[in-house]
Amino acid sequence: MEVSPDSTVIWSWGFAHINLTLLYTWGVMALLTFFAWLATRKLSIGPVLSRWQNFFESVIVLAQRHIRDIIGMEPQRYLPFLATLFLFISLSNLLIVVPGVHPPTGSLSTTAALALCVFFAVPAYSIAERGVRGYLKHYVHPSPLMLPFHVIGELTRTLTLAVRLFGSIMSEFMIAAALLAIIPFLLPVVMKLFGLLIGQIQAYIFAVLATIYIASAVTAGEQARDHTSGKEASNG
Amino acid sequence: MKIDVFTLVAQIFNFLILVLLLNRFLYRPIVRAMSQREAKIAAELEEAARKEEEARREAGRCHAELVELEDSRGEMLSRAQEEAAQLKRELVEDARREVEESKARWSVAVRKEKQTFLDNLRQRAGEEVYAISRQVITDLASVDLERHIIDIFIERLRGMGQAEREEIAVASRRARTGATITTSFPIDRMTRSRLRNAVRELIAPDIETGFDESADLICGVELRAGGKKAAWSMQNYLEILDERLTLAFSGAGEARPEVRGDD
Repeated sequence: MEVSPDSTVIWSWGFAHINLTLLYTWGVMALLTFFAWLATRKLSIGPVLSRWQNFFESVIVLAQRHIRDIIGMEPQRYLPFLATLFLFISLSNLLIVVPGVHPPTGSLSTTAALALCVFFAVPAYSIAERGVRGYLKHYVHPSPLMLPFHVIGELTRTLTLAVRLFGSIMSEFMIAAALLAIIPFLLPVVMKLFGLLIGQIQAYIFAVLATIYIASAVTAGEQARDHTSGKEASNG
Repeated sequence: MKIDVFTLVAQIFNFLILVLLLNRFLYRPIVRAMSQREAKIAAELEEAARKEEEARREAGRCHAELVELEDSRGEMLSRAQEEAAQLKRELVEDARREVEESKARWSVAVRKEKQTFLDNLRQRAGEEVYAISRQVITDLASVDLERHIIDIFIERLRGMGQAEREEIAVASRRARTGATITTSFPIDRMTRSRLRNAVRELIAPDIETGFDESADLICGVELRAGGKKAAWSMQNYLEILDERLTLAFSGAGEARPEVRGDD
Protein backbone atom coordinates (compact mmCIF):
# COMPACT_ATOMS: atom_id res chain seq x y z
CA MET A 1 0.00 0.00 0.00
CA GLU A 2 1.53 3.23 -1.16
CA VAL A 3 0.60 6.02 1.24
CA SER A 4 3.24 8.64 0.62
CA PRO A 5 1.89 11.59 -1.36
CA ASP A 6 5.30 11.89 -3.00
CA SER A 7 4.45 9.10 -5.34
CA THR A 8 1.41 10.84 -6.80
CA VAL A 9 2.96 13.07 -9.47
CA ILE A 10 0.67 15.62 -10.99
CA TRP A 11 3.06 17.28 -13.37
CA SER A 12 6.63 16.57 -14.33
CA TRP A 13 9.25 18.09 -16.50
CA GLY A 14 12.48 16.24 -16.56
CA PHE A 15 13.88 16.08 -13.03
CA ALA A 16 11.37 18.58 -11.79
CA HIS A 17 7.91 17.45 -10.91
CA ILE A 18 4.95 18.48 -8.84
CA ASN A 19 3.49 15.83 -6.57
CA LEU A 20 0.73 15.84 -3.95
CA THR A 21 3.18 16.66 -1.16
CA LEU A 22 4.16 19.91 -2.83
CA LEU A 23 0.59 20.66 -3.75
CA TYR A 24 -0.68 20.22 -0.22
CA THR A 25 2.33 22.08 1.13
CA TRP A 26 1.44 25.05 -1.04
CA GLY A 27 -2.13 24.70 0.15
CA VAL A 28 -0.98 24.80 3.76
CA MET A 29 1.28 27.78 2.98
CA ALA A 30 -1.59 29.58 1.25
CA LEU A 31 -3.91 28.90 4.17
CA LEU A 32 -1.39 30.06 6.74
CA THR A 33 -0.63 33.21 4.77
CA PHE A 34 -4.34 33.86 4.33
CA PHE A 35 -5.00 33.43 8.06
CA ALA A 36 -2.05 35.66 8.79
CA TRP A 37 -3.47 38.29 6.48
CA LEU A 38 -6.89 37.91 8.15
CA ALA A 39 -5.34 38.34 11.55
CA THR A 40 -3.18 41.32 10.71
CA ARG A 41 -5.29 43.30 8.25
CA LYS A 42 -7.03 45.15 11.09
CA LEU A 43 -4.63 44.98 13.96
CA SER A 44 -5.84 46.35 17.22
CA ILE A 45 -3.63 47.60 20.03
CA GLY A 46 -6.65 48.13 22.25
CA PRO A 47 -8.24 45.63 24.59
CA VAL A 48 -10.71 44.34 21.95
CA LEU A 49 -9.13 41.93 19.44
CA SER A 50 -10.38 40.07 16.40
CA ARG A 51 -10.72 36.30 16.70
CA TRP A 52 -7.77 35.58 14.41
CA GLN A 53 -5.53 38.17 16.04
CA ASN A 54 -6.40 36.75 19.42
CA PHE A 55 -5.55 33.23 18.28
CA PHE A 56 -2.23 34.15 16.70
CA GLU A 57 -1.28 36.37 19.59
CA SER A 58 -1.90 33.44 21.93
CA VAL A 59 0.26 31.16 19.75
CA ILE A 60 3.03 33.74 19.52
CA VAL A 61 2.98 34.52 23.24
CA LEU A 62 3.09 30.79 24.00
CA ALA A 63 5.98 30.31 21.56
CA GLN A 64 7.85 33.29 23.02
CA ARG A 65 7.40 31.93 26.54
CA HIS A 66 8.70 28.49 25.56
CA ILE A 67 11.67 29.96 23.72
CA ARG A 68 12.46 32.21 26.66
CA ASP A 69 12.13 29.31 29.10
CA ILE A 70 14.23 26.89 27.06
CA ILE A 71 16.87 29.10 25.48
CA GLY A 72 16.85 31.75 28.16
CA MET A 73 17.24 34.57 25.67
CA GLU A 74 15.05 37.10 23.96
CA PRO A 75 12.80 35.07 21.65
CA GLN A 76 12.57 37.54 18.79
CA ARG A 77 15.37 36.04 16.72
CA TYR A 78 14.14 32.44 17.04
CA LEU A 79 10.43 33.09 16.84
CA PRO A 80 9.86 33.08 13.03
CA PHE A 81 11.66 29.80 12.49
CA LEU A 82 10.32 27.86 15.47
CA ALA A 83 6.74 29.22 15.33
CA THR A 84 6.58 28.51 11.61
CA LEU A 85 7.71 24.96 12.24
CA PHE A 86 4.93 24.50 14.76
CA LEU A 87 2.24 26.22 12.67
CA PHE A 88 3.17 24.38 9.48
CA ILE A 89 3.30 20.96 11.10
CA SER A 90 0.19 21.65 13.16
CA LEU A 91 -1.93 22.76 10.20
CA SER A 92 -0.55 19.93 8.05
CA ASN A 93 -1.47 17.41 10.71
CA LEU A 94 -4.93 18.97 11.03
CA LEU A 95 -5.52 18.10 7.37
CA ILE A 96 -5.60 14.46 8.36
CA VAL A 97 -9.29 14.89 9.17
CA VAL A 98 -10.11 16.21 5.71
CA PRO A 99 -11.15 13.28 3.56
CA GLY A 100 -8.91 12.67 0.56
CA VAL A 101 -6.21 15.03 1.73
CA HIS A 102 -2.75 13.70 2.44
CA PRO A 103 -0.96 15.77 5.05
CA PRO A 104 2.43 16.87 3.71
CA THR A 105 3.97 15.79 7.00
CA GLY A 106 3.07 12.23 6.00
CA SER A 107 5.88 12.44 3.47
CA LEU A 108 9.38 11.55 4.59
CA SER A 109 10.68 14.14 2.14
CA THR A 110 8.81 16.87 3.98
CA THR A 111 9.82 15.78 7.45
CA ALA A 112 13.39 15.27 6.26
CA ALA A 113 13.32 18.76 4.76
CA LEU A 114 12.10 20.18 8.06
CA ALA A 115 14.71 18.20 9.98
CA LEU A 116 17.40 19.47 7.61
CA CYS A 117 16.17 22.98 8.22
CA VAL A 118 16.61 22.39 11.94
CA PHE A 119 19.95 20.74 11.24
CA PHE A 120 21.21 23.89 9.53
CA ALA A 121 19.41 26.28 11.80
CA VAL A 122 21.16 24.98 14.91
CA PRO A 123 24.68 25.96 13.78
CA ALA A 124 23.34 29.08 12.05
CA TYR A 125 21.82 30.41 15.28
CA SER A 126 24.81 29.31 17.29
CA ILE A 127 27.20 31.09 14.93
CA ALA A 128 24.97 34.15 14.87
CA GLU A 129 24.99 34.18 18.66
CA ARG A 130 28.55 33.13 19.46
CA GLY A 131 30.53 33.32 16.23
CA VAL A 132 32.12 30.44 14.27
CA ARG A 133 34.79 29.75 16.86
CA GLY A 134 32.32 29.69 19.63
CA TYR A 135 30.18 27.26 17.70
CA LEU A 136 33.01 24.95 16.75
CA LYS A 137 34.35 24.95 20.29
CA HIS A 138 31.34 23.15 21.62
CA TYR A 139 32.25 20.10 19.52
CA VAL A 140 35.41 19.67 21.55
CA HIS A 141 33.84 20.52 24.84
CA PRO A 142 34.69 19.36 27.42
CA SER A 143 37.31 17.27 25.60
CA PRO A 144 38.31 16.77 21.95
CA LEU A 145 37.46 13.10 22.48
CA MET A 146 33.83 14.14 22.45
CA LEU A 147 34.02 15.39 18.84
CA PRO A 148 32.76 12.20 17.16
CA PHE A 149 29.96 11.87 19.66
CA HIS A 150 28.88 15.44 19.02
CA VAL A 151 28.89 14.86 15.25
CA ILE A 152 26.95 11.63 15.60
CA GLY A 153 24.55 13.35 17.93
CA GLU A 154 23.93 16.13 15.42
CA LEU A 155 23.19 13.68 12.66
CA THR A 156 21.09 11.29 14.66
CA ARG A 157 18.90 13.92 16.15
CA THR A 158 18.16 15.25 12.69
CA LEU A 159 17.31 11.75 11.59
CA THR A 160 15.12 11.15 14.62
CA LEU A 161 13.31 14.42 14.07
CA ALA A 162 12.49 13.47 10.52
CA VAL A 163 11.56 9.89 11.16
CA ARG A 164 9.58 10.55 14.32
CA LEU A 165 7.25 12.99 12.69
CA PHE A 166 6.99 11.01 9.49
CA GLY A 167 6.39 7.77 11.34
CA SER A 168 3.79 9.26 13.56
CA ILE A 169 1.74 10.87 10.82
CA MET A 170 2.30 8.10 8.40
CA SER A 171 1.25 5.48 10.92
CA GLU A 172 -1.87 7.43 11.81
CA PHE A 173 -2.75 7.72 8.17
CA MET A 174 -2.11 4.05 7.52
CA ILE A 175 -4.03 2.91 10.59
CA ALA A 176 -6.96 5.11 9.63
CA ALA A 177 -6.91 3.77 6.08
CA ALA A 178 -6.64 0.19 7.26
CA LEU A 179 -9.43 0.55 9.78
CA LEU A 180 -11.56 2.23 7.20
CA ALA A 181 -11.20 -0.86 5.04
CA ILE A 182 -11.91 -3.32 7.87
CA ILE A 183 -14.43 -1.51 10.06
CA PRO A 184 -16.01 1.26 8.03
CA PHE A 185 -17.97 2.90 10.84
CA LEU A 186 -17.23 4.72 14.07
CA LEU A 187 -13.78 3.34 14.83
CA PRO A 188 -12.04 5.21 12.00
CA VAL A 189 -13.61 8.41 13.29
CA VAL A 190 -12.23 7.76 16.75
CA MET A 191 -8.88 6.90 15.25
CA LYS A 192 -8.96 10.10 13.22
CA LEU A 193 -9.60 12.12 16.34
CA PHE A 194 -6.83 10.27 18.08
CA GLY A 195 -4.57 10.97 15.10
CA LEU A 196 -5.54 14.62 15.31
CA LEU A 197 -4.38 14.76 18.89
CA ILE A 198 -1.18 12.88 18.08
CA GLY A 199 -0.52 15.23 15.17
CA GLN A 200 -0.79 18.30 17.39
CA ILE A 201 1.42 16.70 20.00
CA GLN A 202 3.97 15.84 17.31
CA ALA A 203 3.91 19.41 16.05
CA TYR A 204 4.56 20.62 19.58
CA ILE A 205 7.29 18.01 20.13
CA PHE A 206 9.00 18.85 16.86
CA ALA A 207 9.01 22.57 17.62
CA VAL A 208 10.14 22.06 21.24
CA LEU A 209 12.91 19.65 20.20
CA ALA A 210 14.11 22.11 17.55
CA THR A 211 14.14 24.80 20.28
CA ILE A 212 16.08 22.54 22.60
CA TYR A 213 18.64 21.71 19.92
CA ILE A 214 19.15 25.35 19.14
CA ALA A 215 19.31 26.14 22.84
CA SER A 216 21.86 23.43 23.47
CA ALA A 217 24.02 24.73 20.63
CA VAL A 218 23.72 28.34 21.77
CA THR A 219 24.18 27.69 25.49
CA ALA A 220 26.88 25.05 24.86
CA GLY A 221 28.86 27.71 23.05
CA GLU A 222 28.28 30.01 25.95
CA GLN A 223 29.31 27.36 28.48
CA ALA A 224 32.42 26.59 26.46
CA ARG A 225 33.36 30.23 26.42
CA ASP A 226 32.65 30.57 30.14
CA HIS A 227 34.66 27.48 30.81
CA THR A 228 37.59 28.78 28.74
CA SER A 229 37.47 32.20 30.33
CA GLY A 230 37.28 30.54 33.77
CA LYS A 231 40.32 28.47 32.95
CA GLU A 232 42.22 31.49 31.76
CA ALA A 233 41.25 33.33 34.89
CA SER A 234 42.44 30.50 37.14
CA ASN A 235 45.70 30.26 35.18
CA GLY A 236 46.16 33.96 35.38
CA MET B 1 9.31 4.85 2.08
CA LYS B 2 11.91 6.79 0.27
CA ILE B 3 13.01 10.36 0.13
CA ASP B 4 12.37 12.23 -3.08
CA VAL B 5 15.31 14.58 -3.45
CA PHE B 6 13.50 17.13 -5.58
CA THR B 7 10.61 17.20 -3.13
CA LEU B 8 13.06 17.47 -0.25
CA VAL B 9 14.81 20.48 -1.74
CA ALA B 10 11.51 22.03 -2.78
CA GLN B 11 10.13 21.56 0.71
CA ILE B 12 13.18 23.23 2.20
CA PHE B 13 12.59 26.22 -0.05
CA ASN B 14 8.87 26.11 0.62
CA PHE B 15 9.54 26.15 4.32
CA LEU B 16 11.96 29.03 4.06
CA ILE B 17 9.48 30.96 1.93
CA LEU B 18 6.79 30.24 4.49
CA VAL B 19 9.06 31.52 7.25
CA LEU B 20 9.59 34.73 5.29
CA LEU B 21 5.90 35.10 4.47
CA LEU B 22 4.76 34.53 8.03
CA ASN B 23 7.48 36.77 9.35
CA ARG B 24 6.32 39.47 6.98
CA PHE B 25 2.57 39.03 7.39
CA LEU B 26 2.20 37.55 10.86
CA TYR B 27 5.00 37.72 13.40
CA ARG B 28 6.30 41.20 12.78
CA PRO B 29 2.87 42.93 12.73
CA ILE B 30 1.58 40.91 15.68
CA VAL B 31 4.71 41.40 17.75
CA ARG B 32 4.70 45.10 16.87
CA ALA B 33 1.02 45.37 17.89
CA MET B 34 1.74 43.55 21.15
CA SER B 35 4.71 45.82 21.82
CA GLN B 36 2.58 48.87 21.13
CA ARG B 37 -0.12 47.51 23.39
CA GLU B 38 2.41 46.81 26.10
CA ALA B 39 3.81 50.31 25.67
CA LYS B 40 0.31 51.73 25.80
CA ILE B 41 -0.52 49.70 28.90
CA ALA B 42 2.78 50.71 30.43
CA ALA B 43 2.03 54.33 29.62
CA GLU B 44 -1.44 53.96 31.06
CA LEU B 45 -0.03 52.26 34.14
CA GLU B 46 2.51 55.03 34.46
CA GLU B 47 -0.24 57.59 34.03
CA ALA B 48 -2.37 55.71 36.55
CA ALA B 49 0.58 55.60 38.95
CA ARG B 50 1.16 59.31 38.40
CA LYS B 51 -2.53 60.00 38.98
CA GLU B 52 -2.50 57.73 42.02
CA GLU B 53 0.50 59.62 43.35
CA GLU B 54 -1.28 62.86 42.57
CA ALA B 55 -4.44 61.57 44.24
CA ARG B 56 -2.37 60.48 47.23
CA ARG B 57 -0.80 63.93 47.43
CA GLU B 58 -4.22 65.50 47.02
CA ALA B 59 -5.62 63.19 49.70
CA GLY B 60 -2.74 64.20 51.97
CA ARG B 61 -3.40 67.85 51.29
CA CYS B 62 -7.13 67.33 51.90
CA HIS B 63 -6.31 65.46 55.11
CA ALA B 64 -4.08 68.31 56.25
CA GLU B 65 -6.82 70.78 55.38
CA LEU B 66 -9.30 68.62 57.22
CA VAL B 67 -7.09 68.55 60.30
CA GLU B 68 -6.62 72.30 60.03
CA LEU B 69 -10.34 72.71 59.58
CA GLU B 70 -10.95 70.54 62.64
CA ASP B 71 -8.55 72.69 64.64
CA SER B 72 -10.05 75.91 63.38
CA ARG B 73 -13.51 74.48 63.95
CA GLY B 74 -12.73 74.01 67.62
CA GLU B 75 -11.31 77.50 67.76
CA MET B 76 -14.29 78.93 65.89
CA LEU B 77 -16.62 76.98 68.14
CA SER B 78 -15.02 78.35 71.29
CA ARG B 79 -15.03 81.86 69.77
CA ALA B 80 -18.68 81.46 68.79
CA GLN B 81 -19.48 80.20 72.29
CA GLU B 82 -17.68 83.18 73.76
CA GLU B 83 -19.50 85.54 71.42
CA ALA B 84 -22.79 83.84 72.21
CA ALA B 85 -22.10 84.20 75.94
CA GLN B 86 -21.18 87.85 75.43
CA LEU B 87 -24.34 88.38 73.37
CA LYS B 88 -26.36 86.61 76.05
CA ARG B 89 -24.87 88.87 78.72
CA GLU B 90 -25.63 91.93 76.61
CA LEU B 91 -29.15 90.75 75.91
CA VAL B 92 -29.74 89.97 79.57
CA GLU B 93 -28.28 93.37 80.47
CA ASP B 94 -30.51 95.05 77.87
CA ALA B 95 -33.52 93.13 79.12
CA ARG B 96 -32.67 94.06 82.71
CA ARG B 97 -32.24 97.67 81.71
CA GLU B 98 -35.47 97.61 79.80
CA VAL B 99 -37.22 96.03 82.77
CA GLU B 100 -35.71 98.68 85.04
CA GLU B 101 -36.87 101.42 82.67
CA SER B 102 -40.31 99.85 82.37
CA LYS B 103 -40.41 99.50 86.12
CA ALA B 104 -39.38 103.13 86.54
CA ARG B 105 -41.94 104.24 83.97
CA TRP B 106 -44.54 102.04 85.61
CA SER B 107 -43.57 103.36 89.01
CA VAL B 108 -43.91 106.93 87.79
CA ALA B 109 -47.25 106.09 86.17
CA VAL B 110 -48.41 104.38 89.36
CA ARG B 111 -47.25 107.34 91.40
CA LYS B 112 -49.03 109.70 89.04
CA GLU B 113 -52.11 107.58 89.07
CA LYS B 114 -51.97 107.44 92.86
CA GLN B 115 -51.54 111.18 92.98
CA THR B 116 -54.43 111.64 90.60
CA PHE B 117 -56.50 109.21 92.62
CA LEU B 118 -55.63 110.98 95.85
CA ASP B 119 -56.33 114.33 94.25
CA ASN B 120 -59.67 113.08 93.05
CA LEU B 121 -60.34 111.50 96.42
CA ARG B 122 -59.35 114.65 98.22
CA GLN B 123 -61.49 116.79 95.98
CA ARG B 124 -64.35 114.39 96.14
CA ALA B 125 -64.07 114.01 99.91
CA GLY B 126 -63.89 117.76 100.31
CA GLU B 127 -66.88 118.21 98.10
CA GLU B 128 -68.79 115.52 99.94
CA VAL B 129 -67.89 116.89 103.38
CA TYR B 130 -68.67 120.33 102.15
CA ALA B 131 -72.03 119.23 100.71
CA ILE B 132 -72.90 117.25 103.83
CA SER B 133 -71.92 120.12 106.11
CA ARG B 134 -73.85 122.51 103.99
CA GLN B 135 -76.83 120.22 104.00
CA VAL B 136 -76.58 119.82 107.78
CA ILE B 137 -76.32 123.57 108.34
CA THR B 138 -79.16 124.22 105.94
CA ASP B 139 -81.24 121.57 107.69
CA LEU B 140 -80.41 123.09 111.06
CA ALA B 141 -81.28 126.62 109.94
CA SER B 142 -84.07 128.18 111.95
CA VAL B 143 -85.34 131.62 112.88
CA ASP B 144 -83.14 131.72 115.92
CA LEU B 145 -80.14 130.73 113.92
CA GLU B 146 -80.90 133.29 111.24
CA ARG B 147 -81.34 135.99 113.85
CA HIS B 148 -78.13 134.89 115.43
CA ILE B 149 -76.38 135.05 112.02
CA ILE B 150 -77.73 138.58 111.56
CA ASP B 151 -76.42 139.48 114.97
CA ILE B 152 -72.99 138.09 114.18
CA PHE B 153 -72.96 140.01 110.88
CA ILE B 154 -73.85 143.26 112.68
CA GLU B 155 -71.17 142.53 115.24
CA ARG B 156 -68.74 142.00 112.43
CA LEU B 157 -69.63 145.32 110.87
CA ARG B 158 -69.16 146.81 114.24
CA GLY B 159 -65.74 145.21 114.53
CA MET B 160 -64.55 146.57 111.15
CA GLY B 161 -61.86 149.26 111.09
CA GLN B 162 -62.62 152.89 110.15
CA ALA B 163 -60.69 152.68 106.89
CA GLU B 164 -62.56 149.60 105.82
CA ARG B 165 -65.87 151.29 106.58
CA GLU B 166 -64.79 154.31 104.56
CA GLU B 167 -63.87 152.17 101.57
CA ILE B 168 -67.29 150.52 101.56
CA ALA B 169 -69.00 153.89 101.95
CA VAL B 170 -67.09 155.40 99.06
CA ALA B 171 -67.77 152.35 96.90
CA SER B 172 -71.49 152.49 97.64
CA ARG B 173 -71.69 156.16 96.77
CA ARG B 174 -69.96 155.49 93.46
CA ALA B 175 -72.23 152.59 92.58
CA ARG B 176 -75.60 153.65 91.25
CA THR B 177 -77.38 150.93 93.13
CA GLY B 178 -75.70 151.68 96.42
CA ALA B 179 -74.96 148.75 98.69
CA THR B 180 -76.66 145.34 98.45
CA ILE B 181 -77.24 143.07 101.41
CA THR B 182 -77.48 139.44 100.31
CA THR B 183 -78.68 136.69 102.64
CA SER B 184 -78.87 132.96 102.22
CA PHE B 185 -82.32 132.87 103.74
CA PRO B 186 -85.41 135.10 103.41
CA ILE B 187 -85.64 137.89 105.93
CA ASP B 188 -88.69 139.78 107.10
CA ARG B 189 -89.21 143.51 106.99
CA MET B 190 -88.19 144.11 110.55
CA THR B 191 -84.93 142.34 110.05
CA ARG B 192 -84.35 144.27 106.85
CA SER B 193 -84.98 147.54 108.74
CA ARG B 194 -82.61 146.44 111.49
CA LEU B 195 -79.88 145.61 108.92
CA ARG B 196 -80.43 148.90 107.06
CA ASN B 197 -80.18 150.87 110.29
CA ALA B 198 -77.07 149.04 111.36
CA VAL B 199 -75.40 149.76 107.97
CA ARG B 200 -76.36 153.42 108.15
CA GLU B 201 -75.16 153.62 111.70
CA LEU B 202 -71.91 151.78 111.22
CA ILE B 203 -70.88 152.55 107.57
CA ALA B 204 -72.48 155.79 106.43
CA PRO B 205 -75.79 157.48 107.27
CA ASP B 206 -76.59 158.27 103.63
CA ILE B 207 -76.00 154.83 102.21
CA GLU B 208 -78.77 153.28 100.14
CA THR B 209 -79.27 149.58 100.72
CA GLY B 210 -81.03 146.97 98.69
CA PHE B 211 -81.70 143.31 99.59
CA ASP B 212 -81.16 140.12 97.74
CA GLU B 213 -81.29 136.35 98.47
CA SER B 214 -78.77 133.78 97.22
CA ALA B 215 -78.43 130.09 97.91
CA ASP B 216 -74.68 130.33 97.15
CA LEU B 217 -74.13 131.88 100.50
CA ILE B 218 -74.15 129.23 103.15
CA CYS B 219 -75.84 130.39 106.23
CA GLY B 220 -74.51 133.86 105.83
CA VAL B 221 -75.00 137.59 105.17
CA GLU B 222 -73.00 139.70 102.76
CA LEU B 223 -72.76 143.45 102.21
CA ARG B 224 -71.46 144.33 98.79
CA ALA B 225 -70.84 147.84 97.43
CA GLY B 226 -69.00 148.28 94.15
CA GLY B 227 -65.92 146.09 94.41
CA LYS B 228 -65.92 146.02 98.21
CA LYS B 229 -67.74 143.66 100.55
CA ALA B 230 -68.19 142.66 104.13
CA ALA B 231 -69.68 139.27 104.89
CA TRP B 232 -70.03 136.40 107.25
CA SER B 233 -71.09 132.90 106.26
CA MET B 234 -70.33 129.24 106.86
CA GLN B 235 -68.46 129.34 103.51
CA ASN B 236 -65.26 130.44 105.21
CA TYR B 237 -65.36 127.59 107.69
CA LEU B 238 -66.07 125.06 104.98
CA GLU B 239 -63.13 126.35 102.94
CA ILE B 240 -60.89 125.92 105.96
CA LEU B 241 -62.25 122.40 106.33
CA ASP B 242 -61.47 121.72 102.69
CA GLU B 243 -57.89 122.95 103.15
CA ARG B 244 -57.34 120.76 106.19
CA LEU B 245 -58.75 117.72 104.47
CA THR B 246 -56.39 118.34 101.56
CA LEU B 247 -53.50 118.62 103.93
CA ALA B 248 -54.52 115.46 105.72
CA PHE B 249 -54.74 113.42 102.47
CA SER B 250 -51.47 114.78 101.22
CA GLY B 251 -49.77 113.71 104.41
CA ALA B 252 -51.39 110.28 104.17
CA GLY B 253 -50.31 109.90 100.52
CA GLU B 254 -46.71 110.81 101.30
CA ALA B 255 -46.62 108.61 104.38
CA ARG B 256 -47.68 105.47 102.40
CA PRO B 257 -44.92 103.20 101.16
CA GLU B 258 -44.03 103.20 97.44
CA VAL B 259 -45.45 100.48 95.30
CA ARG B 260 -42.57 98.36 94.03
CA GLY B 261 -42.66 96.10 90.97
CA ASP B 262 -41.46 92.49 91.18
CA ASP B 263 -37.91 92.00 89.92
